[in-house]
Amino acid sequence: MGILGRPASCAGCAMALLALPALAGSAQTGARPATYIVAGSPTDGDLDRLAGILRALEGVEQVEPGRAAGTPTVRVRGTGGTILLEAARRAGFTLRPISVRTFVAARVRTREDLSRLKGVLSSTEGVEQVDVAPAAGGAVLRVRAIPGSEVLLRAASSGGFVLDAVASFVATGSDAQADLSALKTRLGRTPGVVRVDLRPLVGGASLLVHGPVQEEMLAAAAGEAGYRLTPVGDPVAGGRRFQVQGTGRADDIPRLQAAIRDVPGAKGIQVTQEADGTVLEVRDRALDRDRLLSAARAAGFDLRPLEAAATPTLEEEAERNTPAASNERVLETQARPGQTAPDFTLITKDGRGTITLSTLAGKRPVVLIFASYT
Amino acid sequence: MVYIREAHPDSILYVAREDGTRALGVVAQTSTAVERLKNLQQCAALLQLTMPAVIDRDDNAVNRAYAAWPDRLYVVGMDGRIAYMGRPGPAGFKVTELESWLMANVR
Repeated sequence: MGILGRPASCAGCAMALLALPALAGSAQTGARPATYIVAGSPTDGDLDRLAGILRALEGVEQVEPGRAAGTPTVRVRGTGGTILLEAARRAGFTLRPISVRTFVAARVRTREDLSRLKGVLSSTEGVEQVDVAPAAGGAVLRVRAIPGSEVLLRAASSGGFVLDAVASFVATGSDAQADLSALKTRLGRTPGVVRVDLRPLVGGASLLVHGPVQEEMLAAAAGEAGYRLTPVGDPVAGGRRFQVQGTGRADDIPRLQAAIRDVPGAKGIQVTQEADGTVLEVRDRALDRDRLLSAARAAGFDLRPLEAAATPTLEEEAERNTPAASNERVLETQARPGQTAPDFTLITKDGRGTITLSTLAGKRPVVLIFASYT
Repeated sequence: MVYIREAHPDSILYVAREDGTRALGVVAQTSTAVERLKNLQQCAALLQLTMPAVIDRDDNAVNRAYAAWPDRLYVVGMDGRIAYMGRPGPAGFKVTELESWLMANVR
């Protein structure tokens, strides 16, 4: 639960976490634009209409309709996440964020190999971001891209690299051993699957699927075995890292440090020079990320979130988030400042009583915290 | 606290077992009072929540009325009117802003 300091892996929730002692919707002020694929076959006129709708949303700074790798897209800077998806849905469009895929590369031993592999993938049409990191026996890559795994594998192959596609999922359903064995067998028969690793959980299992698979086919196979399959993010990291853009002069780092000094929680920030350039790392979860980004931007620096590429594993004890639920966002509230609060009578957490909001008013102010476990 | 629909259903989080230990489990979406009580009680037990907590109705009426999903903060004044309305979460879920508001407006 984000409000309670629980780790969260989506950009929006991580932001909320940082604002507390802590994707639904995410504000990306100061960050790079987010790209969404527009489903179906929209015309250029449709894309322009969609862009106009999104530009009208509060907090949206910039919207660029276009096509990448033959796929209709919108690139949005500003408020994002499920607020955009809901606004688009109301206008008859279906948006989905572009995928992040993980690959393991063998026989990548030197820094030059890593750099060349990153270059090969980065130059592939529709690839937005490639993060690489050394791993045992090779390297691990996180690729944010419109094209599917097969296109990326071919691109790597053309550069002389062999990649193993690895995807992490959670299967929701029975945690009985026999049922999980049946699930593993069924997934293993899905075209493209090379290997399935499974770890039982209460209420399902964590899965690593090796091979260039299509998620839709895998989800259908899981459904036949009685499970719901959902992509799951990487284990939550302890800190948050940003690439600092706009540096170049000798006094830039002291200037950045001075600019963010008064942001609450900024004492835990470290600024270092790394292979990716100047990197700012946040360690204090109490830090207000919005204020950090704003303060940096006011001083002429853009902070771009850095994704950490890490070898997928089932051995992690970390919690992991799935993407924010779709079709849950409500855009209009009946609660308005100065107006009577919508009343309710709801069941208490022990299941034995109820609380009626209007019976509390008049005695003292009431703070309403709306939230869920995830 | 008002427990509403899950923000990231099927996430892998720690859950409490009947024997008092904890283990990683799948937290599924909720649609009924039974499911919501289970998730809320899990959450409250694990995080040692002591604040009063309720679950939203099966038809999500309170969530809709307050445009609350995935998380949001409000303050209802002693006159029964909305005194503070946080922006939609997660980006608008700002405890520090609420804290400042309470410090300035509540004695």
